[in-house]
Amino acid sequence: MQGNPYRTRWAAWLPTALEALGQDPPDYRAVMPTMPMPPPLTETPFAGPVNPRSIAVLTTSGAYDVNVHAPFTASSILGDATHRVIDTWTRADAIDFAHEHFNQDAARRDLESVLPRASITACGVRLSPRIISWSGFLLDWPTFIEATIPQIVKQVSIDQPDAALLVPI
Amino acid sequence: MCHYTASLVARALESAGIPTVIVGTMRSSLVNVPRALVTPYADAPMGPPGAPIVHRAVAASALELLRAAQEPVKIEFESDDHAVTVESA
Repeated sequence: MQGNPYRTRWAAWLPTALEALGQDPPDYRAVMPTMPMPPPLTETPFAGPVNPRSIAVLTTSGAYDVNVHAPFTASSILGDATHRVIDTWTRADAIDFAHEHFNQDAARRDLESVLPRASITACGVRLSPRIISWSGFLLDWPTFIEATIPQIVKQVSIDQPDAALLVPI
Repeated sequence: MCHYTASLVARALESAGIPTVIVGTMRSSLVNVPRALVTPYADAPMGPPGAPIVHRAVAASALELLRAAQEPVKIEFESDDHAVTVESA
């Protein structure tokens, strides 16, 4: 079986990280600088310019449809490397957030502050029928990189948007 | 960390041929991104709640980045007059 050097480095780091994160309060400052990151890309892919007629919206806010989805596991010290696919025009009162690392008051008072729907369409651009959401706090980078990101790319591509707008929190 | 995950997803989408623009608040965490609009609104990147004019101005600036940028760029969204300053990423 072929080895995965990045997952091996991550697994070697994890026990020490879990010990620090298991403290009360978790010692994020001791952990984050040592966390193995994926090999950096030396080049930035650039597919443009484009005058978009349609656009996909993606958010790291941990948004989910309370009538359809399980919330992200926001309280896990490993975070949550999964994602959710939300119907774009889901009622605002059916969307909630499972992400403990940002103040959700603004998002709950006005969804548009983190999920631009009306403001995009007001600019004359159509929205893709699905919003992609994940919780931006995660430590399981191998799963996010190897499984979640490829799924996100496929699910965005299905709708054939001219472009994508990402809103990290 | 949110911004780092968004940067990775943006690069994957661009590699698949889908142009991207990120609207975020943490400039230093936006690494190797094709297009980024940095706003001053913590926890509400599109603008404060109940401010539809700001939301639309941020959205319009992000869309303009998609239309105009010829190379990777980060742009600061200026809330006072909605003007922007362009610089290379």
